[in-house]
Amino acid sequence: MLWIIVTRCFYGIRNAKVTSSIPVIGTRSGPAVYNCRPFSLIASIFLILGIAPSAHGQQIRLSIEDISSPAFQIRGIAVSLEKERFEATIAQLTLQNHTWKNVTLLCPKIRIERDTISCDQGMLKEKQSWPVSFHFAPNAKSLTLELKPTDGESWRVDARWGDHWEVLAKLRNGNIAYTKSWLPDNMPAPSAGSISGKLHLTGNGAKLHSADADLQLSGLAFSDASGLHAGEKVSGKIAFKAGPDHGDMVWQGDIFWESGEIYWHPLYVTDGGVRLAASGRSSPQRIELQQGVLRWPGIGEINASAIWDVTARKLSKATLEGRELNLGPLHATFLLPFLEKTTLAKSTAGGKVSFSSRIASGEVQALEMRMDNASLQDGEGRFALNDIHFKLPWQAGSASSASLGIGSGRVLALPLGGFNTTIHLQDKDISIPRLSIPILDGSLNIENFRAAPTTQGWRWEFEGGLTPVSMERLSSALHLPKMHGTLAGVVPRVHYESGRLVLDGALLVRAFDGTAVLQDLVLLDVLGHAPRMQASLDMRNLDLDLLTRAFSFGSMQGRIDVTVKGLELSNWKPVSFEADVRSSSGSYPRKISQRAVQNISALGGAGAAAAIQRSFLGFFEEFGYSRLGLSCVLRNSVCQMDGVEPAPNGYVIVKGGGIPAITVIGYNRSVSWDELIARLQRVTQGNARPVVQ
Amino acid sequence: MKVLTHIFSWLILFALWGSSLALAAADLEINTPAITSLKQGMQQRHAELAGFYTSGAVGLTRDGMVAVHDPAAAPLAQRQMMNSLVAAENQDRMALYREIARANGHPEWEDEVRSTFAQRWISKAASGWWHQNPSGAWVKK
Repeated sequence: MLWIIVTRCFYGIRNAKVTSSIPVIGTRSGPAVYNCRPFSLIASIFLILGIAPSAHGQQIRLSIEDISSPAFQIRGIAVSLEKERFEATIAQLTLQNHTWKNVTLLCPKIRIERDTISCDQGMLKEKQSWPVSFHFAPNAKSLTLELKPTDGESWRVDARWGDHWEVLAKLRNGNIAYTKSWLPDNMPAPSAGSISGKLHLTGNGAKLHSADADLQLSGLAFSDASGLHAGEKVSGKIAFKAGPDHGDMVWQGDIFWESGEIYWHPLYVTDGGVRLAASGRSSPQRIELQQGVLRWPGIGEINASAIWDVTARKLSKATLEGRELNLGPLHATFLLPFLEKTTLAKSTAGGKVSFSSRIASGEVQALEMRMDNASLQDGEGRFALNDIHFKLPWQAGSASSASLGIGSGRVLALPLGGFNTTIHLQDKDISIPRLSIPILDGSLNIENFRAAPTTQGWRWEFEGGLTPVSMERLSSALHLPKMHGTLAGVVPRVHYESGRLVLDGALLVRAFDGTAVLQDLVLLDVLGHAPRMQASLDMRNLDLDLLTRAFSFGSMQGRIDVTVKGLELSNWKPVSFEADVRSSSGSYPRKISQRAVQNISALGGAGAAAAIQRSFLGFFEEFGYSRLGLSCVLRNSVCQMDGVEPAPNGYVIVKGGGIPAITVIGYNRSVSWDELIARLQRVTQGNARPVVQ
Repeated sequence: MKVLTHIFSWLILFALWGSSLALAAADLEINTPAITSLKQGMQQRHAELAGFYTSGAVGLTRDGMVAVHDPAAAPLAQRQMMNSLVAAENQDRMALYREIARANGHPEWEDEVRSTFAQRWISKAASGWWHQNPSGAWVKK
C-alpha cells in the first residue's frame, strides 16, 4: 500500500526503495510518469510517515535515486525515521536553474499523529543551518513551514491545496539578500536590507487567481554588476492587489519610496518621499495601465496611462501629463544628466512647466508644453534668460505655431532686452521668420532661422544683422576698456551641420569708425573638446585714436588697415595667420605719443624703450610720422615680423615725418607668440605713464 | 617554388621590420594645438579622477583607456560624475591617439600609439591603482 502512494505522484521516479524493520514494504525500479499536483513530493515523503504510528520504536528508511519533472529535479533522496528522530537528505535539488546540494531537514523530535505530522524545533541545513518548524496535515492538504534564520527574522508560509491552492507568506525582517539567486540575471541584485509584511496568493493549477501583497522594505541595497543601477539604504512600502475580472486580471499597486538614494544611470535621486500609484488590467495579449500617478516632492504630480502590446512587445498607446511642475528640481534631477555635453551642462532653471503628450505605436504623436515665469541660468555666468513664457502645441505630421517670450537676458556680461517671437513647426522642422533681440541701444536681428533634425544631429541656418550699438555702452557692459563709436554688422547666411558651422559670404562689422569684414569663417567641432576656427579678416580705416584710447596703448592719431589671412584658431588660440597692420592711404593727421612709441618699442624688448627715454627725444610728448606698419606671419608658435620697409639690421615700424619726427625700428624678426602676447599684455595693462625727462 | 616562398617570406619580414622601424620614429611628444588642448583637459580632469583611481573604482585598461573597475568603491552620489569623467577621459584619449598619429603624418599608427600609451599609463600609475594585465584581468599595482 505504501509503495503505491510513493510512485503514483511523480512525473519520473527511479529506483525508489523503502526498507523497514516492520514487514510488508516493497521496492520498485524504473521510471513512472503520472499527473501530479503541487506538494505531491512533500506529501509522498510525509505519507511514508503515515505508517509511523505502527512503526514507533522501529526504523524506516526511504531512498529514491532521482525524481525529475519539468519544474524540478531531485537526486539522492534519503529519508529516515528512527524513533522520534526524522531526517531527510537531498543530495541535489534543482529548481528553476537554482541548485542546492546536500540539503538536510532534521527533526530530533517529530510528532506523528493520525492526521498531522509536526516538528517544532527542526533544523534545515545547506550552507547554513536554519531553525525550522513545520506542521503537515496530509488529509487536510495543508502545510505550515516557518524558517527563523536569525533572531527576529522569520519566513512563514501557510499553504493549502486541493482543487484550488492558496499560499500565505508572512515575513518578519526577512533578509532580502536571500532572494538574490531567484531574480533574473539582468536585474540589479539585492545585497542587504530586510523585508516584512505579507503576501497572499491563490490559484488553480498553474493559474494565478489573486494576489495581495503588503510589504515593507528597510535598508535595501542593490546593484547590478556595472554599478550603473544601484540603491543604498532604500526604505519604502509596496502594496499590491490583483484579482480576476471577465477573464482578465485587474490590479492596483502603490509603491512608496520613503528614503535612501538611488542611482539609475544617469539619474541620481535621493531623499525619497516619492509615491507611485498605478492600476490597470492585464491579459496574456496586453498590459493596460489605466491610471498611473507619480508624486515627486518638490516637483509635482505626473499622470500616465499606457497599453503595452505583449505580443508585439511595444507601447501601442500612452499618455503622459504633468501640470504646474516646478522646473528647478525637474531640471536639476531629470534633465541636467542628459545635457552633459551641451552648453546647458551647468545650468539651473526655475519657474513652472506643464506638459501633456500622446504616444501611439511607439511614436510621440502630440506634445503640448507651457512654461510660465521660467528662467535659465548658466552656472558659470555665461548666459541667463529670465521671465520665459513658452507655449508649444505640437502635432506629428502637421503645422503649428509656438510662442516664445523672454523678459530679459544676458550673454556673458552683455545684457539682452526682452523679446517675443513666433516659432513655426512643421512636423520636426522649426522656422522663425524674424527675431529681434535688443542689445543695449541696438538689436541683433535673426531672420529666416530654420532647423531640422538629421541622422547626425540638428542642422540649422539663419541670416541677420546687428543694428548700431554704442561702443561706449558695449565696452562698459563687457568691462572692457572704454571704446568709442558704434558697432554694427550684417550677418550673411550661417549654417550648421554635423558640428561644422559655416558663414556663407562676409560678416560686416562697423567699429572704430572703420569697417571690418570677416570672411571664409568655418567653425569645426564647436561644442567639442578642441573647437577649431578658420577665417580671414579685413579691417579698413580704423581710427587709431579710438583704438589706442580703448586699449591704453598711448595716444596715436591716424588710420590703419588690418589684414589677417589664413587665420586658424584651435581651442580659440591662434595656430597660424598672416597679419599685416599698415597706415591707411589718404590724408589725415598722423601723430604718435611718446608713450605709444615706447610701447611699440617695448614689443621688441625692454632695451629699446629704455634707450628712447634716455635720448633727447624724451623732451617731446608727441611726434609726427609718415607711415607705420607691422606684419606677423605666425607659424609653429613663432611670429616672423616685418615693417613698412627694411632698415639696417632690422625693419622700420614707424617711419618719421614732420617735426619732431621719430622712426621706430624693429630688430627682432622672430618672436615667440606667447612672449609677444605677454609683452602686449604688459604694455596695455601696465598703464604706468612713462617718466619724461 | 620553394625559393619563391623563401623570397616572399623575407619580403614580408622586411616589410614588418620596416613598419616597426617607422613607428619607432614616431614622436609621441609631438605638439599641436589640438594635442596641447587635449592634454590640458586631461590634466584638469586627472585631479577629479585621481580619487577614483586610488579607491579602485576606476582603473586603467590594457588598451590605453580607463574603465569602471569597482563601482561599489564610489559612493552613489559620485557615480554620475565618475561615469561622466570616464566617458570624457576616454573620448579625449581616443582623440589624443588619433591626433598624435596624424601629427606624425601616419594616421594608420593610431593603434600602435594607443598601445604604447597603454603601457606608459600603467607604468606611471601609482601604487594601489588597478589596471588590466595583458590578458585583460584586473590587477592591483
